[in-house]
Amino acid sequence: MLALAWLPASGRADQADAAGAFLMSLTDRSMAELTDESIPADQRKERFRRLFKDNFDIPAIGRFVLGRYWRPADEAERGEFLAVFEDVMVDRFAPQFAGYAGTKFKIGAIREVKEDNQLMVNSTVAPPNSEVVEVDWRLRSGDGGFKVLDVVAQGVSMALTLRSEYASVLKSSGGKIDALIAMLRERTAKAG
Amino acid sequence: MDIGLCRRFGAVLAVVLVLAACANRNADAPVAGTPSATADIYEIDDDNDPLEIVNRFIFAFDMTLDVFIFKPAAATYRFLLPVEVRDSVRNVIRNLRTPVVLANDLFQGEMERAETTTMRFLINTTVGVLGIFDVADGWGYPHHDEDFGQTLAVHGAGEGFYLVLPIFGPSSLRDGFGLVVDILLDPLTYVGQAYDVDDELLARPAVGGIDTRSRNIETLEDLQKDSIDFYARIRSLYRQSRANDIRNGAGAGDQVPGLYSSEIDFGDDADSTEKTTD
Repeated sequence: MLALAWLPASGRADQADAAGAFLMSLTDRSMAELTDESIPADQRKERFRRLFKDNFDIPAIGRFVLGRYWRPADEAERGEFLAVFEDVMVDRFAPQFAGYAGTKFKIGAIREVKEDNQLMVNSTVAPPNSEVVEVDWRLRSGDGGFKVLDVVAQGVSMALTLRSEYASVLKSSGGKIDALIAMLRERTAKAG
Repeated sequence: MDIGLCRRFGAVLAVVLVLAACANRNADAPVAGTPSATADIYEIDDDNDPLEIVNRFIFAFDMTLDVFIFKPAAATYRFLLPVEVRDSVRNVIRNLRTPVVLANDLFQGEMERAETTTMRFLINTTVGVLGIFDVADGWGYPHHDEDFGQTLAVHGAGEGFYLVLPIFGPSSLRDGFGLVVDILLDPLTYVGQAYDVDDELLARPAVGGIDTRSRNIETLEDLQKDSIDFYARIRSLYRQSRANDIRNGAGAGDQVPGLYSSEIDFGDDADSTEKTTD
């Protein structure tokens, strides 16, 4: 019932502030826990995995990434896909943080996207000795606070890119999720 | 300008007009919250790649060239030359491209950007010693690029369809034509012809290509590492990145309205997904 008393005008400003604070704390923690080059690779992966699980809505991202192929899949396939998808993300992004200590984040414009409690938070990421990257974060606020739904770097959406790629694979395998899962698993085994 | 060039230019213009007139289904940039959102969702899953088989073949050819020629050349270039020299190489090449960028700024009605391009050229050619130093950047005139493919897009032309060009890589019908027009717009094309120094025509893109490649060695490696269909990944990246360039980087993320909105992907039991993708 409290939700009904929610005042849109002031509530929205609070929401934007809270979203900015959420991202700042997420990036601060990532910098503090992941960038030190002396951390063993496995440990960095585990730390990244924890941050990723706590702050990204992995089931929602996985569902979006599978697109039209999500619904025909049964519970077991979905679970299996989400598990291997998480591994792929960990293998892909955890090592990227090594040596990026001193990266500067700046939160820019924050705006609401349609309904569904979503926000787009614009930010600039300036790694040391490298060019500034424009990054937009798609967040959704829920009972447990904010969760990241997508990261858009220089206009390129992570979720949309993966969706296109997986759709192409699924199309050529006749829509069989098993085939996609097997290919992803092979990748993670290689990345070990 | 000789007759052959005039004719070529005429032919390109004709095609350009046809393309612009077609201004096909990609023309309306999706805007969050508009009723057209359902149509745009279809767009997300549309490969718009009727030549996929040929494209994949050329992509494989390009990747092979990259492995054996471009990547080693770029790595050697990066290894041999200090970063200051490499930055100067890029500065000179960017400065030489000024006429093309300026023309497209003007075609798009971007007067502020046209002014920036002009000031950059004046400052960098003089104070920056023939473009070797990018002084203008520090004076509040940062670099930007433009091309005729973007000009066509700004005037409502859709991408046509996806196209992989030999050596040049990912492109589209629209951007491929844009590439030809940009070559014709470039005064250096005619300097090269007049003095019969065709080598210049090849040297500049070759050096520019190696320089650009040298800046993407790790990025591309990372991109490829977890990829299970690199062709499809690059196709998607190219499209999104071009869309971003066409918007001049403004409002990134808006191109996918309601990406996760409940009516599209969270409606597990609703039929909306089928409706929008049929």
